[in-house]
Amino acid sequence: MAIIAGAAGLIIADVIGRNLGLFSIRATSALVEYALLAATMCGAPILVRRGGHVAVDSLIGALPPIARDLVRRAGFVLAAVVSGFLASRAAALSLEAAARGVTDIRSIDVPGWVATALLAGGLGLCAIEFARLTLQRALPPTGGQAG
Amino acid sequence: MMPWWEAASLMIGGILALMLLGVPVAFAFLAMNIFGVVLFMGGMAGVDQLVDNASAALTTFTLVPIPMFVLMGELFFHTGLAVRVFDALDKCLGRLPGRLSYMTVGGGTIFATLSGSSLANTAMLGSLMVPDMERRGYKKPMIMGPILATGGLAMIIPPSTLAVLLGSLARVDVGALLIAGLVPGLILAVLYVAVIRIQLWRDPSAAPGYDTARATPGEIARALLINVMPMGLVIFCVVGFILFGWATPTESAAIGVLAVLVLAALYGRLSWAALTRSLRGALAVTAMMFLIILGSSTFSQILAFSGATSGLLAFATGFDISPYAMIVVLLLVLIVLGMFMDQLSMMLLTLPIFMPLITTLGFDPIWFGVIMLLALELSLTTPPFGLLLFVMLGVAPKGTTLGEVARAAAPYIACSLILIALLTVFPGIALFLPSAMGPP
Repeated sequence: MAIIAGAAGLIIADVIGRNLGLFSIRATSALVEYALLAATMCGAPILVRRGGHVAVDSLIGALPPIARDLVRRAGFVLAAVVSGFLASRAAALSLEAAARGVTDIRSIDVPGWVATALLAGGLGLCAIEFARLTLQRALPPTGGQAG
Repeated sequence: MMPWWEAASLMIGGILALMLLGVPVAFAFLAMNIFGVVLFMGGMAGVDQLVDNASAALTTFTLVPIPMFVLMGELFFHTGLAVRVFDALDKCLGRLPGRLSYMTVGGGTIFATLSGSSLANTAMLGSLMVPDMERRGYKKPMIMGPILATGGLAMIIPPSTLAVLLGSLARVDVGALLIAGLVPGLILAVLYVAVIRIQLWRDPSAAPGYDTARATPGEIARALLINVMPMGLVIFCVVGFILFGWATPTESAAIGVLAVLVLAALYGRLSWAALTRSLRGALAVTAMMFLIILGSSTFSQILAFSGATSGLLAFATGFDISPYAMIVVLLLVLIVLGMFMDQLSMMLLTLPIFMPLITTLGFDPIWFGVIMLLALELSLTTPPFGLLLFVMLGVAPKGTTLGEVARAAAPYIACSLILIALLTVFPGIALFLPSAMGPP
C-alpha cells in the first residue's frame, strides 16, 4: 500500500514543483516504474492466497464438484511449476547481473539485479502459495475479474 | 519452420484451453509463453528473454494511471463523496416519473468521470439505488437496465483504466485514447436517458412517480454548488492538466488522486480508515491487472516470431470483403469472446492480431480503440457470462434470474451498437478532441 501511496506522492510533488518552476525530481520516473513492479510482486502472492486472480470459471463451473476440484488443483500445480521455474530463472539472472555489475540506465541508474530480484521474490512466493493451495483441503472461491 | 496456422493454433488454442480449464489467466499466459519460447526461440535463452521482457513490461511509466484511477474510485467510494453527488441529484429531479432511473444514469455518468472502474461503478450504483427503487415499486428492467448500462460507462469515459491498458498494450497514444472516449461516452449516456424515456412512455407503471419533498430552487442550487460542482476539480485535474500541457496523461492521474484527497479533506471525510481501505483496494486490482500484463508481455512477440501474426494478417486481408465488413467481423469476435471471457483476457488475446490488421486496413488506431472499448463494454453485459450481469445479479432484488438481468440490459446493448454505427459513419465524434490536443 505504501508503494502506491509513495508513487502517487512522488509524481504529485514532481508535477507541482516543475509547473511552479521550483524543482524537478529527476528520479521520479525510474522510482515509480520500479514501484509498479514492486507493488505487483508484493500483491500477487496475497491474491493467490485469497483466490483473487482473474480466472475463467465458466467451463469448470459446469463440472460436477469432484471433477471441478481436480481440474482446479491441476491448474494450481501447473501455476506453481510455472512460477517456481520462472522465479528460479529470475534469481539466476539477478545473481548474474549483480556479478557483472549491470546497470539499468533510466532517469537514474538502477542496479540491474533489482528488477529480476523482485520477480524472483514475487513469483517464488506465488509458487509457494499455489503449492499450498493444491494441498489445501477446501479451495477458495474463484476470484477477481478485471474492471 | 512450422506453418503459421499450426503455430497460431498451438499458441491461441493452448491459451484458450488453459483459460477454460480455470488456470488463472496470468499464469496461463506465462505457461504458454514458456512453451512458445522453448519451441520457437531456442530453449533457455528464450526463457531468459521472457524473464527480461516480463520485468520490462511492468517498469513502464505509461501504466501509472491504472493504480491511480483505481485509487481515485476507491477514495470516492470510501470517503462517501459519491453519495453526496447522488443526494444532490436527488434534489434536482423533483417528482419526475422514473426519477431514480434517470438519477442512476446522471449520477453514474458523473461517477464514471471520476472513477476508472466499471465494476466499482456498477457495484456502487447497485448497492445505492436498488433498495430505494424496489421500495418505490419500480419494475425490474427499470431497476437493472440503467445500472448495468451506466456501470459500463466508466470503461469509456475518462479516466478509464481499460483505456490506459488498451493504449499501452496496443502502443497507441494513451492520452489521445482517454480523451477520445469522452464525447462517445456522453452520447451513450444521452441514449440511455432516451431509452428510459421510451420505456416509461410504453409502460408508465414501470417506474411509478411518488411524492417527495420538493426542493426549492435555492436548495437545488446549493446542493449542486456544494456537492457536484467541486467534483469538476477532479475532472479538470485529470483532463484539463493534459489539455493545458501541465502534466502528461500519466502524471495527470496522480494529480486526480490529489484532487480527490483535497475534496475529501475539505468535506471533512478524509480518514485514515478510508485511506487505507482505498489503498488496499487499489493494490489488489493493480497487482491482479499487472500480473496479467506481465504474463502476456511475451505472448504477442512469440505470435509475431512464429509467423502466426503475419500469417493471420495475410489470411484475414486475403478475403474479398470491405474494410468495414472486417470491422464487423472483429466486433463479432469480441462479442463472442465476451460471452465467456473477461475484457482484460480478451484484449490480451486479440490486440496482437487486431491492431496490425487495423493499421493494414487504414483505420485510425485511436478510433478503433474507442470502438473496441465499446465492444468490450457491450461484452460485459452479453449473456450467458457477461461479468456485469453477475455483479448486477449480486445486488438485484431477491429472486431475480440471469435471464431477467440480460433482458433488462438488451435495450442498452442496442444503444452501444447504435453508437458504434454512429462512430463508423462519423469518426470525428471520437477523433476531434484528440486532434485538438495536437500531436503527442
